[in-house]
Amino acid sequence: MPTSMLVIVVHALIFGFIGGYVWHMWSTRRERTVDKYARAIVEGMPGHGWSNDPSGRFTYVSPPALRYYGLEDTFIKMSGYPVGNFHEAYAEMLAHIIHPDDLQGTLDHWAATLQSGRPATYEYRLKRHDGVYLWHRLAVHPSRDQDGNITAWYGTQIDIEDQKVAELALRKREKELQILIDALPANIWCCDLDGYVTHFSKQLQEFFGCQLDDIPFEQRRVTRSNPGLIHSEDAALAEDLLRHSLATGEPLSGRYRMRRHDGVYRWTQQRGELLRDDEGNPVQWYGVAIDIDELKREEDALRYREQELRLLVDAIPMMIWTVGREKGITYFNKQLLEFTGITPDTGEDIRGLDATRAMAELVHPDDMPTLASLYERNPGDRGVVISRFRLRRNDGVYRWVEGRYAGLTDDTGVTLRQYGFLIDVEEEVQSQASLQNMQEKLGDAARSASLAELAASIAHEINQPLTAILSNAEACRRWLNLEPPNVARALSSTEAMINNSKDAAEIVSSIRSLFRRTPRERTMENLNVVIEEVTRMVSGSVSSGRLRIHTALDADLPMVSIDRVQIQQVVVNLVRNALEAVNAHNSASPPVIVRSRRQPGEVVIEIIDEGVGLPSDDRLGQAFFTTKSGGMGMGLVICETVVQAHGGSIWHKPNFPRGTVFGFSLPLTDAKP
Amino acid sequence: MCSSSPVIAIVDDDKRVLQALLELLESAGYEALPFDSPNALLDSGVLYRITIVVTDIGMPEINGFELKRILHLSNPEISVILITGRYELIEGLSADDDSLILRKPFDSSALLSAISRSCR
Repeated sequence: MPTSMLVIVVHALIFGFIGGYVWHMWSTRRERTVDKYARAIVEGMPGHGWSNDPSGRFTYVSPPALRYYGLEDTFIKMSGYPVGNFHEAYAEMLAHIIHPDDLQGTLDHWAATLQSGRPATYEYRLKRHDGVYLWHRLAVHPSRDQDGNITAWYGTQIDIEDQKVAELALRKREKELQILIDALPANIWCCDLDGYVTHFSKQLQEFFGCQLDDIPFEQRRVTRSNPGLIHSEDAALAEDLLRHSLATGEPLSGRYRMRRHDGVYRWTQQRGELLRDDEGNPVQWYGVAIDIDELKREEDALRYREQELRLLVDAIPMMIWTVGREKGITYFNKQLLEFTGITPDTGEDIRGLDATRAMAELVHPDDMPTLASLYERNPGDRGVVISRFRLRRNDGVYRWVEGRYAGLTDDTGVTLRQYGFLIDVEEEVQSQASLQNMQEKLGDAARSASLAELAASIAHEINQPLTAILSNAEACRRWLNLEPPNVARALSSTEAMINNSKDAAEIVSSIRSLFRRTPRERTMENLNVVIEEVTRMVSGSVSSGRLRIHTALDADLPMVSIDRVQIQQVVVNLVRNALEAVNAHNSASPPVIVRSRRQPGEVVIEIIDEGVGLPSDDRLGQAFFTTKSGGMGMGLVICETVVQAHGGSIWHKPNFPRGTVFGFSLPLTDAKP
Repeated sequence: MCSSSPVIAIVDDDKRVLQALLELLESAGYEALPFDSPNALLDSGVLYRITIVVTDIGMPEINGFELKRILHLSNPEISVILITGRYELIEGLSADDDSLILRKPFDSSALLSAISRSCR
């Protein structure tokens, strides 16, 4: 039995070995078949494959990889290197194939991967057999046994040079753009299509004094309820602007205040544009925030000043106008609008009026031609122009006003604008007229009254201030005689006395001037101005009657050297004579015409009336000859004397169909030898 | 008819004379009221207080004589003293006219004594 048992055991062993061998052979063969397919795949793919043992040492490198590096399999596998100083040797080996800049990083990464035991990817530059470095991306993963121990690492890598170059170029461009943006002296921001800020430029970060990362994501979009860095009063506006642009894609433009790092809110001008890609799809929003605080302040100040000025112009009790930039449009201030009651053409705020219409409606018809020609002739560019005319008040009554205007050129230096004001001088004109009356009465007295009457008139003029002086003197004495003396009242009495005395002295000197004989200083004058003054003065004194004076003045009349007062007296005398002649004729009273014109070497003034005419008598111009019932006949004698003293001549001739022409000429100064 | 402190109205269209007479009468201790025209006095509403009126003669609209006449229609007790610088205006007056008339320029004491006589 032991023998048969042994045989059984031996057979069992033999079969066992044979079976095991067959199994072994079969399974090895199967593995080899799998391995063969795997190798075919690894070695056929357009990349490199390899395996490492758990310590990282290469156990297999695919032939394409070897061909790629141009290295021996044994070199990479480091066959023959003892395991002891493996790491230095390994690094030395890798230095042959990895770009120096990437070497350390690769080693560190590989060491970390080995330690962690997790799959990993990595990008680095590898040296091709021709010495050119190309970017590759590797992927490694560990293989483990049933117990979880790492048995091997398998790795593949592919050439990503083109992709990497493009990516690097893009990154470089982005970086350059970033540098550019940060270098720009402007606050630049970007936001996504939902309005959340994605980037602040360096400038803007400095402005806010914080990084974008400091702001929680949900606060990166402005809303009413969450103003963030925007002034709470402006948040609603900012939100609406943003919403509108986000919804429509239209550029964003607006002004609001942003909080600077020091807590001060600054006005900014915001401009945003939607960036689209090549297909026109929206990508993101780019914007700039320009600090316009100073500008805004100046603007506000300017607007405030403008308002102030407008208020001032409306508040001062003076009627102001200006001719606007648009040709022919006049602007009236409130006072002038109220005075005239005229309604502006273009609304209350603007107060624009057509200048021609305004003048036609408001200026007295008789004053219109003079005023229009004055305005035409002199736009005020050489200084202030003064004129007096009658202006219709809102109740239809014409009031005398004095207008002054000057022309100013605007910034462009081309357009001339007129600025002017009007003062109601009705009272002054009235009192002037009455003063004129007094003077004329005195003048008339000098001409026609008896010496006794003349003396009485003069006496009365003198008696008034004299009475005042006497009364004040007595009052002064009484104030001083009081116990105690009232010095204050005494002083004011004395003050009044001094003024009374001055008045008396002025009256005396004005009487003297009426009878003056000594020649006075001559000045260069425009006779048109003298004529206008005289006609205005005389018109004032005859305003109650229907008598009228018309002027026909040569606008280019040269200046002449004259004693203004004397020549004025001549014109007054001749005009008054003409008026009296017309008056005496007592018909439909045609106007007296005063004409000025230039002749070679002289200026000629003519006064034309359609009055009674003159008798053909050579006594005319002699003292004490007069055709009028009252009057001493001194007028023409004086006129002749004055004109001759000026080197001119005076004459008269009948007018057609009736009346008389009185004329006189004055030589031009430069025409004199 | 004169109260212890008479109120005197001065009427003259010449402001200088008006001021000077006001000064004179005040320095003499009177209460005086200035009016630059007869109408200003007649419209003033203070006639009941006035005891004496010193008025210029030559004035526009209403002259001194007319003012006196108008005043005496309603207030015959008011004394009127006329003053004038135009002597021709009073040349035609008859000698027995009871008007008290002073010629400008008059001595202040003449005016003051005329006033005190009117108060008697």
